[in-house]
Amino acid sequence: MNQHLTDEQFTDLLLGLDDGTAATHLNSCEHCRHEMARVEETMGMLREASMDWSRQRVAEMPTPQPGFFERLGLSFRPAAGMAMAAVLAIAVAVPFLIRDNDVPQQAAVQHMSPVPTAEQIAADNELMSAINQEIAQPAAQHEAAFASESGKARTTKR
Amino acid sequence: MPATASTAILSFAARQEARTHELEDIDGLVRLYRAKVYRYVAYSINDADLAESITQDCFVKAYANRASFRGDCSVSTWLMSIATNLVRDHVRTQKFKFWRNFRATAADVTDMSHQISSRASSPESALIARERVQGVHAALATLSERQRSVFVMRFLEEMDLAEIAKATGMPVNTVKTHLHRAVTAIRAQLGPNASTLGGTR
Ligand SMILES: [Zn+2]
Repeated sequence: MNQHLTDEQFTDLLLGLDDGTAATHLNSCEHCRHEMARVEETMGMLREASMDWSRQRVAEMPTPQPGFFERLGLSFRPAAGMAMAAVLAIAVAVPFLIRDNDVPQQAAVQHMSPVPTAEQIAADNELMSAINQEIAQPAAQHEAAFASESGKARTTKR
Repeated sequence: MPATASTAILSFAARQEARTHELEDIDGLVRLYRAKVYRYVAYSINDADLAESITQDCFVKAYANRASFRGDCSVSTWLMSIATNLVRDHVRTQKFKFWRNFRATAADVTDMSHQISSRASSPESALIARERVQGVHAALATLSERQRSVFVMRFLEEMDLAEIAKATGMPVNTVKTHLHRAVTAIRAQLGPNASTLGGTR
């Protein structure tokens, strides 16, 4: 066989989805074997370097005070602290406004809490409402900064 | 209540208890998984600083939602699914601003020279490794957040396609499509194959 692997065949082989055809070619083709080795080697280097990097970054990250998560998790009180609440707000303030066309987001959203209990929903709501209250003032500037864009986002909601 | 029903409920409660036991030790959870979650988020949003707060957020959410963990996937996959939702919320709320500034701010996820050098056997291999990693990072910057997320799960976390589908809520075929796109972009960025560190096998 003279034809080298197509991108499709190459990636399938890399992902372990090959039906045997690409593997057979690889055995007899120095060029494709070389390319596979290069890509696997690159992924391996990236995997190691990025984990070293991540561990280092994480080690420098501030660690929450002992009991922080417990207090937040058990009581959902706004006493959790302005900084963390503001951080949470960035992620939860305007959720699910835009739907992309290509991917079933609904499935992803549902997946996170497959069968939420009534208790859990209540707890989540309480957490969200506590956070919203807490960030009302500190988030004002942030909200203003995104006001026009969020407005656009809302109008594009399907 | 019939005995069978109460027994079933008790046994269900016991199973839930065992499954969520790992999640009760939040400090242990953070210790074990924070670097994985952080790497995933940093690559997905391509912002090393913002990834810190989203990572913290992920563990807060995991702890708050620990009762919803059914034990039908690994804790790691479950955390990835929470992180995925947070990344999507972030991208959705910041979309316009974020993508406008994306190229200009393409954050220091790309700076791994030190980590690469410390693992390389020689200055020459360190140089090749740095070029390759930079090439991959440049290719990743051209991809969507979803394509990058899926790439990290497959090639850095070494999750299988079914796990990725579960963590992202995407059909397996969509995961495959994203991976094809990512691998093709990376190979194109690396250019014609000329050098390997260890040679061919
Ligand atoms: Zn070939």
